[in-house]
Amino acid sequence: MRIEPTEFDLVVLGTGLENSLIAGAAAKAGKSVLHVDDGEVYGDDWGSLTLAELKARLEAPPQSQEAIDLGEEVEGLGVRRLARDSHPYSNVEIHEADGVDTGPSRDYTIDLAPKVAYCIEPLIEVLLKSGAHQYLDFRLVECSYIWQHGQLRKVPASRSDVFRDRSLKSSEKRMLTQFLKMVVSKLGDEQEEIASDRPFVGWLEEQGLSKPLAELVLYAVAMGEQTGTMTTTQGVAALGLYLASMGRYRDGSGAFMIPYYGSGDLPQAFCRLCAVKGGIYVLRCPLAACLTEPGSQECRGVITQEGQHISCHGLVASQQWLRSFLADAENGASQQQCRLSRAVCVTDGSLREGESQVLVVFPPGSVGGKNDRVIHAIQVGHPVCPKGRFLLYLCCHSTAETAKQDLADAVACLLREVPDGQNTPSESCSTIKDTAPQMEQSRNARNCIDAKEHEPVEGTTPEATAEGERLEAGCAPEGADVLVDVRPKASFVCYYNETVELHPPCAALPSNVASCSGPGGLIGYREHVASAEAGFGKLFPDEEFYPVVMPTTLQDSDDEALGDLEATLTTIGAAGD
Amino acid sequence: MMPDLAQQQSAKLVLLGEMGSGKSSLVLRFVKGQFFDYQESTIGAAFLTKPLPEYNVKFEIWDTAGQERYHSLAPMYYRGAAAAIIVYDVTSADSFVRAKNWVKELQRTGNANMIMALAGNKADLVKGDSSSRQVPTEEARAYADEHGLYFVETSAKEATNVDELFEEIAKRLPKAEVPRQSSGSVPLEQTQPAQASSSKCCS
Repeated sequence: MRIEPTEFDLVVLGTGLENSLIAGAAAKAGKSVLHVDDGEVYGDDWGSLTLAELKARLEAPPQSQEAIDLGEEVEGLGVRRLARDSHPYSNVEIHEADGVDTGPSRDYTIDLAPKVAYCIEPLIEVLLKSGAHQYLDFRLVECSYIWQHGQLRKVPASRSDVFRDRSLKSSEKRMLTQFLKMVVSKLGDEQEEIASDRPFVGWLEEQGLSKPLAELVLYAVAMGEQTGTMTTTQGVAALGLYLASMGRYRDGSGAFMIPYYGSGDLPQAFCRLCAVKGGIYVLRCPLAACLTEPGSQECRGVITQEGQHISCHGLVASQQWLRSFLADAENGASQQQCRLSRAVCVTDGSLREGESQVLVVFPPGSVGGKNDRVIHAIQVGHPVCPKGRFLLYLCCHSTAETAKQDLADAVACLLREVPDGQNTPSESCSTIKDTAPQMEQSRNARNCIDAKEHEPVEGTTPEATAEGERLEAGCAPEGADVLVDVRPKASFVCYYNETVELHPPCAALPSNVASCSGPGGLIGYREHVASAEAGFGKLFPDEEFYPVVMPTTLQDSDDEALGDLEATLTTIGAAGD
Repeated sequence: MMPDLAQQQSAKLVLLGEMGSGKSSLVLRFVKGQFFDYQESTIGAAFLTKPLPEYNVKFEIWDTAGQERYHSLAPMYYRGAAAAIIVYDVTSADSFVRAKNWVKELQRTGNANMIMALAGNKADLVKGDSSSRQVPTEEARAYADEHGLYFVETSAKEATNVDELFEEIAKRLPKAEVPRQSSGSVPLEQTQPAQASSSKCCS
């Protein structure tokens, strides 16, 4: 298969989100773009896969390509091999319940990089500015929960939520409402009196928030990931982002939304945008090498695995392809990497009846005192899985040896039965017995409660505690009087670690080569849009990243689309005459 | 009385088929009544809309944007489509093979209620002189019948059967279904008015 033409302004390797954002921006800026991927499907480590594809992807690395004979030099240019030298996934453990039919594999669209987007964040603005929002749908995350004292506690999404919340004492309601009012007013005026490098958590307590409320605000509203690392300045900015996102699309809804058909739609949308502006797309097309200018090492072209030479003035690739450049520049300096622990579960019911898209935050230490870092969980339902089933994704920065060690306890908090050989109901009881000897046997059978968090919170009234304990029966609906474990069961669970290369050191690369990082945790796309913008700015310093504000009404965009089409056809027609 | 435009059901319609089979020409003929002779590949059209008030439907017609050229069409393109037109060129047996592959792909991954039509385009090239025809009408019709597809031979150039093709699809669309705007989805451009004003006062 020969690619035509053979000269491009930009070659982009890999269809991950950052790569696709750059490809789309370049095409929008009028650059000619060739966008290739060695895989069968779009998205690279950002894609969405069927159940069978997921298993295959995690267990077997993408086919490493045969080294073709390239020589040292081609027409006076250096030859630098492009090779993906490592598989990002490790410690993969897949468990399936015997005798449970999870349904057809192709009814699943499982995200390799599940994420929620803030309703206001740069990604959404870029989608709107570019018109790519027309290619995909989002749905709102209906509710956020924080795992506190062994139960799911709803994160209030509106003032009326605060008043309705039965787990809040009236003093706490006042405290929280006043606090939020104060934050909104501070964000409104320009006074920088709350800007500070002091830990945000201390500031929250100074504002008079009780410990559980401060925890709720820090982890489930400001989305902090570690105790003490967020400064007050960052924390207040994060609160502002959350509050501005809340209710942007629907009153009383939370701050987050999620692509309707899976996160893999995001790279696809920007690829389509690029294609609509003339970009050429070739999947199943690995690149073997980059041709470099002696001295400057600037990229002058690429060689496909099939041996075709293509000239280009710039190259964008995921970091993992560009090791040979970085090895020279950094010479042993450690790459910036982070290691994530991930889990994907297929469950037979929602964490909360009547809700489909749910976000759960486990603060540090909330899962048996063991988790040092925040664990995030996202639940999504049909159409990314069969009706009646749900996908539950968990993710944290790994601290333990394996993803399963990091996440199995959190999974066991949310689900009643998990076929991972660790959290069968009887075994999770024994875990509880170890940590909570004071608990009654009968309650052990139904609960998964962290003993350390179980102590009454300072100032909690006896009634409130009693109510709290009733609710601790798994995830029973609020106000339920009977102790019934209504938590869903998992029929499939998969744990794995992912090594993600972060904030690529652009400066270490030649001036016309930019690299892209892999996906991070579950919350937000800000750093990825920023990274793509930086990469784009490096390659095209005179161009703006997604500058054009597209008309947002369908009729106007239609006229523009028609105009584009006609102009192109007329040009081609004229050239033929 | 003409139904209110806003009441019209919008239906995503996609065209699939080999490069050069005339997908974009069919769309352009249908939407604008135009034809360009030297069209080589498609650039520039995200999607077009065309209301058919008499059928109470508004088609959102997506173009492949050329991604099919190296067999790299993004699944997002055909997912959620209410209807698909699979186009081949009556003078190219290869394009018919490709069309059959598309039918298979859609039946494997697509929505079970999707309306599918098979269009043998460039019928003007075999009018009168059928020496260049490589796909016999009867063979295509038999294939379409077997797979439950509406079949017609078209000419975008001469406007033969183009409106008929789209109208037949409109007729067959299930009346209640609104596939494009998935239930519970959020149109990104429609923010809450209250939010807009409050963010203004904060800025």
